[in-house]
Amino acid sequence: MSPETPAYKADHLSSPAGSFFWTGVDPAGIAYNTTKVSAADAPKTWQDILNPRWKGSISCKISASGLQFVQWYTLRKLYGAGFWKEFAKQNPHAFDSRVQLFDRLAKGDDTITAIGEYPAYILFKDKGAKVEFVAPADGLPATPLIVGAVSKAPHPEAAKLFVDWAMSKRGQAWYQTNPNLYYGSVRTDAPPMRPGCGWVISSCSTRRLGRLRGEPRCLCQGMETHCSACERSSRAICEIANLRSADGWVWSCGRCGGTGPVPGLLSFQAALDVGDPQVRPPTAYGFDNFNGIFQYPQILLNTLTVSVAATVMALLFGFVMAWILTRTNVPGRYLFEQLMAVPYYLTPLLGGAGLEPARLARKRLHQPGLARHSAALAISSISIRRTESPGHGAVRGLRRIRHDSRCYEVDGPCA
Amino acid sequence: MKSMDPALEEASQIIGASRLRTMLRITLPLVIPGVLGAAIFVFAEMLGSFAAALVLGTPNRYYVITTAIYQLVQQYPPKIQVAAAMGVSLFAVMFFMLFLYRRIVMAGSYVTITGKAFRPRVADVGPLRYMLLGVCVLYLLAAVGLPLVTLLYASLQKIAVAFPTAENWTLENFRVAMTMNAVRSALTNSLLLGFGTATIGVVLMGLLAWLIYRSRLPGSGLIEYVVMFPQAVPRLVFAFGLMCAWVVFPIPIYGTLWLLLLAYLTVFLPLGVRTIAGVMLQIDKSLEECAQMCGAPWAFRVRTVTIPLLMPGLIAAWLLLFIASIASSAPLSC
Repeated sequence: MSPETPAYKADHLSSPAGSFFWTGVDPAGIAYNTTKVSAADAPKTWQDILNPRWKGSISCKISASGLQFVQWYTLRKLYGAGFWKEFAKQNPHAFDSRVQLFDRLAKGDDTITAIGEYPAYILFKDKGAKVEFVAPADGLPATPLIVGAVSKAPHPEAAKLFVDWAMSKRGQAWYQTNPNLYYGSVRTDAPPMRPGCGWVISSCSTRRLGRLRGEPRCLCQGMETHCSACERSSRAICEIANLRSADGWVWSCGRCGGTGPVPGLLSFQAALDVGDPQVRPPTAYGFDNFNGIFQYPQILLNTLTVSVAATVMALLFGFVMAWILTRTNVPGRYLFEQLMAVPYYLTPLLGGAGLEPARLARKRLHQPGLARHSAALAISSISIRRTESPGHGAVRGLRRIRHDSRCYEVDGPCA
Repeated sequence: MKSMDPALEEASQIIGASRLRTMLRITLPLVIPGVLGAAIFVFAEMLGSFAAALVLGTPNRYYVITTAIYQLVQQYPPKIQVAAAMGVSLFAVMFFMLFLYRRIVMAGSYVTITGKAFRPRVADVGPLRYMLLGVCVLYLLAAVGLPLVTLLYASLQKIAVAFPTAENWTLENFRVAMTMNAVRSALTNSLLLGFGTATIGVVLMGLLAWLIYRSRLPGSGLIEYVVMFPQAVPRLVFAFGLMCAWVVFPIPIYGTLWLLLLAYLTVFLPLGVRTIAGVMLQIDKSLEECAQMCGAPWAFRVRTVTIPLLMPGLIAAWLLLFIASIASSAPLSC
């Protein structure tokens, strides 16, 4: 039991206390780009994000995100499962990280984000991003963050020391002020979080999702919530309880772990597993998963489009470049031949990043019908670099052909 | 194309065909088998490619098989079985394509590098050459210049927007990158992995190449197929398989650099063996046999004859492996 425990309320500790505590609270509202959306037009409630005007320009997190899970759960409780079905019709763009969400929002790629994390909003606001935050009047979903030492940690004393620090006033201040975190503290004597950020929470959201301690009108105070997300925290308790009792410290294995050491075989085994996905070893085998593939005809088509386009482009570029460099007296061709290998050493991730601005510029003359094709083209054109550099690929292919053993002396001695 | 005898093209022009006609009727048909092989190879590689599709396609809701697999595993609840089925199917298709590629390449019996030499004829294209120079420059600009410049530009911006404003310029990102522990340890990890992969890889792959192409070990053909196997497994699929396998495997290397080292060694196996084998096949066997005749034992033979001759190939392979493991995010992407 940490000596810092008395500074926390029982609600914010494991029960019984001593396993974990709430490191902080992370609330998410709606955020919008102020150059694209006026304050008057911005959504005021969660219902407003279903407005067709946001269709295709709204973002959210992927379903594996904890905060997204909390939001899904709380809004489902508020408005029923139909809410998310409606939301899906908005064609939202889903991302892993709040940084991606706000980066796109600041650029104007998306005009609003349906899961505007308050810490991320502060981070981008500080950088001068033209974004604004809305605390929806119908409630502000928030998730607790949980820290505790696991039972079979390789260095248990170090883990306990870390928990002590995280619970302490110093540790909590760090969680509150580190720009990559900015989480609200639930420690009873925690200082105000970010003074003067000027954001006022409406009374309605305090009613539904908890009340604020200290100055009641600013979220920047440490927040004391007992929000409807508490089901999530009890869920977390289950996970941690399981972890403590049985699995040791590598608890992620429960989901995907198999029984054999051969990666290829495991893929085959998983592919044939048609039983309950969470149960190991598999309870039933069959070929149903392969039928699953055909639920995604568009994906198969996309794959084919991209691959064919890339192949054609690689060969075309490769052939033309190979011809120019080996068969014409183009100036500096020896240098160019060396340089042709350079793209191979750039990772395609870099290529993808490099094409971003081109994509943005294209967006200005956006034509909906062309969008899909240009995506395919862009992916292909980046990916072909990976394939041993197209020019070299073609040259290598062509090198196989020899027809004559005679020696020609055209512009130099024979090799 | 370099190694294609220009006599045939010259003959065509002598009998009065235009340059374009020569290109279409002589050059193109000559290179078609090679091009076909390359096409199949590129196509198979493309089916398994991942990173570009992830960066560019996913935000536009444009999925290909590899990104769909990634999505199915990432989402909640994860559909690992369907993802695995996709991976296995993709693997089967890629394996078939690469099998086809090998057949086509093997079928051309005029394969290896011989002593026959000739210079490809270089056409004087006159002032047109400056236009062709332009094409080359343009290609390199698009393939190398644009991404690098964009990256540099983005690194100097507070928020990565397309069009600059005065207050958006900053050097802060570089300060953070230089001082952040995570970045420094990532750099160290990359270098460590690069050295490890390249050094262990060259020894391992050199031995394998020797076993496959030089020893008279029964079943060396089988080894060759096993070694080339990772080429056919989409790297994303391989990475997930590896992850799941080592979580349950009793040796505790999950979550350490060792697992990455293992993954890199496996993924780059075909690359390394092919590079070393390319040089090995050029060395005449008789030199080794000569040493054997003189009574040199195996180890002495390898040390004094094979390795010195192989040196350029080994160094090239080391560099290639080093660069590949540093530059790529390979096992988890490609």
